Amino acid sequence: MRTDAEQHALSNAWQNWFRFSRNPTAVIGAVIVVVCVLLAILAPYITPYPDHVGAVVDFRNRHQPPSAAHWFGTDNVGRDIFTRVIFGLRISLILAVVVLGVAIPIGVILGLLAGYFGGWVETVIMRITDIALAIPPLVMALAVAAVLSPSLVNSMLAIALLWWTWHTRLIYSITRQLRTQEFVEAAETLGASRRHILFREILPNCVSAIAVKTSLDAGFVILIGAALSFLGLGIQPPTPDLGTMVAQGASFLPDYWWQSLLPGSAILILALGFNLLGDGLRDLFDVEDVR
Amino acid sequence: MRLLTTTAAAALAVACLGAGAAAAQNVVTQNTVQIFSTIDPAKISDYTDYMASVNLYDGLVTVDSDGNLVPELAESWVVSDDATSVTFTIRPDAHFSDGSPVEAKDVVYSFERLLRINQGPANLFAGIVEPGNVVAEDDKTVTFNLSRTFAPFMATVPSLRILNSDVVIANAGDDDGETFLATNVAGSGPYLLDSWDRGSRMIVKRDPNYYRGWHEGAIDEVRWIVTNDEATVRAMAASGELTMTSPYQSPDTYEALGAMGRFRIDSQPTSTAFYLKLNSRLPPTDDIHIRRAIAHAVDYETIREVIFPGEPMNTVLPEAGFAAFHAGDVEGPVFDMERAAEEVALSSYAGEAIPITLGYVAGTLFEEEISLMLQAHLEALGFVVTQQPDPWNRITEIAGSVETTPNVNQIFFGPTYPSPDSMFFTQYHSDAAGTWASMEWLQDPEIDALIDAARATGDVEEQAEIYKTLQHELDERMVSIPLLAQTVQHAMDNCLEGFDAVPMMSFDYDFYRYRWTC
Repeated sequence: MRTDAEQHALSNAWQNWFRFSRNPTAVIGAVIVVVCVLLAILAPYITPYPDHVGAVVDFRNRHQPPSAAHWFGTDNVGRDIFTRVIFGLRISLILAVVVLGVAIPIGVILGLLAGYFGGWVETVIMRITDIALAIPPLVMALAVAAVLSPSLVNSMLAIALLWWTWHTRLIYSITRQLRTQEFVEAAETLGASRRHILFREILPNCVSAIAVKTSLDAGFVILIGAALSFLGLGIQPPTPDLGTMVAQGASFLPDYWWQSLLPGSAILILALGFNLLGDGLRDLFDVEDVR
Repeated sequence: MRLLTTTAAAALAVACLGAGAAAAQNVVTQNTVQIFSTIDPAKISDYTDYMASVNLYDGLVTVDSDGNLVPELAESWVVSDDATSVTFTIRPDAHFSDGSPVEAKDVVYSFERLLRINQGPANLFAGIVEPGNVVAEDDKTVTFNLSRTFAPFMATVPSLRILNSDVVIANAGDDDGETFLATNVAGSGPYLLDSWDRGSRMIVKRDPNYYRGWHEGAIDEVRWIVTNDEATVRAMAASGELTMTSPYQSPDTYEALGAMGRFRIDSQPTSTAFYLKLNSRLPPTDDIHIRRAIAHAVDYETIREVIFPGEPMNTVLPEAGFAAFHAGDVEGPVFDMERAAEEVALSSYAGEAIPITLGYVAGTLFEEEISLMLQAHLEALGFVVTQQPDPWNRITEIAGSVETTPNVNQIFFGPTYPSPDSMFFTQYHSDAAGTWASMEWLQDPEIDALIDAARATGDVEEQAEIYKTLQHELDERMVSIPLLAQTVQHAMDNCLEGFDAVPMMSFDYDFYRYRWTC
């Protein structure tokens, strides 16, 4: 026997799924993201040349065009590009997860505090947010990479340092609306603690907005990570990274087009997948505030 | 009467030329990848500066493709027994482009002005020849008195370009003629400056009265077009405008020009060497066996044939330009992974994971390829490799201390004057330590003593012996792994001949040496 609440939740989920599945762009986005994540997780088992991730050179096979043996061709030292693209997806996804994993909690908590308490707390938090928003993430990442040495960790740090601001703004505006709602006032009247109100009453009402924002952000973080690597400030060789592969292949355009075009397409598809998914979720949850 | 004769002779000459050659001027158009920053002989420093200078000015001596000094303004010279003074005799017929004779006072003036301005080639003479120690014995004889015996001195003389002192003094103004010589030429070179647009081109024309005379097929006009854009170079070649490329084009451009049929791709070994420099004071490359293991783990043939074109090199001194000093009996490093493994086993790091850093210039594709190859081979031997790509300005910085210098470094080095001393002193002498050219941190008194001994003797045979010993000693220590001697490539019009690589910057672009054969 299911309780009423369970029954209700189930039908709610079923409704959501029904609406979601009727939205073709969202479904395409979800499929792309799921496939990419699966490919990244299973990379060592499904790629034809998993050892080509490390320092392998095979100069007799350099610059081979796409073929049955090498689906995406080979690069300037003879490594299989298909293998490296799949492993490159891994790095891109790890980057997105880490950056957002650091930035979202910070941004959400600051947004909740600023929106709920108002006054000087709001002033301090929101002005700092404005200042941080004024710095373009790519410029910040370039500066961090220049001061520290260029590496995956440093570029993640640089992007995360700026990314929380968007979430602060978003959650701040939602919290401002919610704090005058009856259910919040009711909780206050009952003497609920501030922590309870922030995290049990307000936060659950922000979750859909955060989910939409997160999936949209993932695409952007991946693009910025690729841009940094393209400029030589991200992941260092021989670790496969999509941005680095595009940059290196670019010196062999147009003759060996596969070396930059195919990794570039992988970035495009991955970012597109997250964006379609985000758009779909936004339509689904009917969140106005996100962009 | 005399005027009449000259005019008649000139008229006759014009008539003869008019019949055949006057219409067909031999014009060479070459692209340069950078602008000409100066034509003042006291300021020249980079390849385009020297390129203009060797055509507009003459020196007392010049350099041939074997690195030998050959007469130019001086017809002969005598070195004193203790090699502390050199006396040059200037050719009796040597004259400047305005017709006035080249005299000893011009040499003295040019030298003193070079030291006063203290830029460009001045550092080659600093501490060797003091101001006032270049003396005019008579109109055509000049003596350089050296502060100490310095065997490579003669090799630095070609960089002293001789100015027409009367003209410069008359136009000296209040800045030692710097303003005047920035845009005017007062020299005796085979070519005269015709026009110069700093950002885009320089055109020089043949001086018909040049004192050394002209040969058949001489180049009448040289046009240098400043562009480093490959597409522009290809377009200029396709339109027939270009006769010779710079040596810095991409392989694709050489290939495209070669396919046009009008060009041949001229490829020659140079004296510029490409090394792996091993930091001999940082673990694990402080162990000779580790250094030898690395030397055996490099696939030299693949590097030369696939990654970066070059000539094999067995010692730290390239054979091209230094044949007389080159130790051909040194075996040199060979690619052999078994021997590499044996050397690792002999080292004090045997049996453990050996961390090692491989440095190279960030963004340089061929260096990254070499570094990846090395990583693959070293990991097979039990090394734990960290790649350390750095931009060039950062490399010059980290080369300043032992701790920041990576274990393995990919470095190009070529002679700045045509003497083996230029290769040995700058790279291996303790006095020159701490630069990107000496990332080995060798600082070995035995090596220092050998380099000093070669500098202190005027006897070329003895010098050659010392330099050969040095190459054996350095091979024993294996601090620099010679990868290859760079080849220089030009796409040249089939009708143009005369490029012959010279072990001194841009002296092979002296167009007096070229001829048009069609």
